[in-house]
Amino acid sequence: MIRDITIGQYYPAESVIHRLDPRTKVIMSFVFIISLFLTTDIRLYLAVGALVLGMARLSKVPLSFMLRGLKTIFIIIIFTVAFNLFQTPGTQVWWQWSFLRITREGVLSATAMAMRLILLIVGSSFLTLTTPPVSLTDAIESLLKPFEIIKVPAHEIAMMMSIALRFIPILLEETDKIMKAQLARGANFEQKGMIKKAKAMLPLLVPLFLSAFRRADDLALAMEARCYRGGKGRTKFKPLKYKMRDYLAYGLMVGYLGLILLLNWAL
Amino acid sequence: MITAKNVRHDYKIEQEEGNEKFFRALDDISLEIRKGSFIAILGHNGSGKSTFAKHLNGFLFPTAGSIVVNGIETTDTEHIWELRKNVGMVFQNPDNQIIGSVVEEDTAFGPENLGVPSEEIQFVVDEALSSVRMQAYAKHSPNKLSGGQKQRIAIAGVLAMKPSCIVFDEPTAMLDPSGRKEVLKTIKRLNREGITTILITHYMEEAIAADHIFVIEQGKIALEGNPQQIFSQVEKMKALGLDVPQAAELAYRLKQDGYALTGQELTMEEMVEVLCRLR
Repeated sequence: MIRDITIGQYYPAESVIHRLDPRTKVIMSFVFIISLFLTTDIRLYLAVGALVLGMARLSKVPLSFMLRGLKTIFIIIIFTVAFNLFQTPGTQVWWQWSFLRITREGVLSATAMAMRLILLIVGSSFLTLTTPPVSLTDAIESLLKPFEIIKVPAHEIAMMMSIALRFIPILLEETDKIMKAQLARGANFEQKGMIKKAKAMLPLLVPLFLSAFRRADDLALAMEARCYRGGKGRTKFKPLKYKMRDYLAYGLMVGYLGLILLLNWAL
Repeated sequence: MITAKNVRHDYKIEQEEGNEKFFRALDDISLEIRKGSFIAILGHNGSGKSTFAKHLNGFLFPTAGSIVVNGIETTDTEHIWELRKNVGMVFQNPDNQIIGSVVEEDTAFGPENLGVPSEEIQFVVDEALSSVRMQAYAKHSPNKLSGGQKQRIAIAGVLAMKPSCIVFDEPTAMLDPSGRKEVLKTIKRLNREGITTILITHYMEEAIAADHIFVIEQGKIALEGNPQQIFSQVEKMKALGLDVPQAAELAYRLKQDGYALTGQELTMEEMVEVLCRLR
């Protein structure tokens, strides 16, 4: 059923990582991504890989879920590896054919690149796998709050995101309904060719947009009727609160970053 | 509690240079609604009943005349939020008035906006959800609920603001019969608990429960009175393009044929009783 779709890829489970404050997870993801670009050492990547596997066990999210994200970037990985493999100049040439050559440095950097990309995808998928989208919007609102000084509309962004999350399933259902109605009137949605395909979408998109605008109008009225007047003076039902485990996680994160920097310098 | 005096409302429909056309949606409406009463406003589409509802919490301002709710003039923009907190509004489409992705978060939306301290919100939310009998669904997603349940959630969202009056603008128009029953039952219960209720509807059966009915036609109050008075005027209602409840119509016809009925029987139960006595 179209009603049952989940947005994002949240995997519900009871784990320490699920219970962490969403802000902690957002910041940790950032730091993790940065850390991957601090080094090119394969041994370090192996260590980080082991760490990610450990975290995966801890989060109780099946590994197959984590690796699912790799499917979409498979082509990119192949390309990156090929470029690095054949195009890196180096001292030790192992194989050469016209402009293609494989060098020791090429093999090393290709491996490092592939590992970096894989770790990047798998590591950052933790955030969306263990955090429900609603908490994620809360985290974004809270983290953007300091930037309100430079006129970043933190509350408005978060409100827009949560309304979008609420209405995606409704609009999907509506799309389904309109599609059936138009099919019953003889519309053909299975045309060949880009332009024809786009034209066939028209009888679907126009009513959908119309109804979306009507809904937006209704919703705005309902929000105002319930005294909504922007983020000012608003309280939160469930305000985000850091717990002991979050401070611990931040500590571990700093330790991890230090260790990466140290090892990268020492090796 | 609510006093409307000679309220007029003109919609601008066309605006060219120096040429403005107006549509008069409300024309000289005066009425008084007492605290705790149950008012029904009837009228067919375009009669102005929704326009009137939107005047009660300051969505629209009267072109002429005035509306005072709990001592607050609705045009008083300084107290507009106090007014809207006091006069809750439930709309037709349940989907388009639920903001949260989780039931209890949606119910918390009103209190959040009013700046209720975080620790108190949970209490307010639980109370509101239990008064619409939806506390079991607090952690559910509204998308998977039935229309009647969604409308009850919408009512809970309004209740959480602790209003003294709720305006229901055709709350059952998009629901199936069982959902309609659920919602109407909730509305009646809330009224018994002391909330001033204004029900706008075009289902005549729903208006039977009201203390007082206003029938609006072309922006004017065409008829007013209690349900017995309104629904015994079958010819007049028909002339206004409105139906009367089946029992009322039957009573009216039997009375015309010379049977000893009052012509004020509104429900099946009353009808059955009266018919049995006839023999």
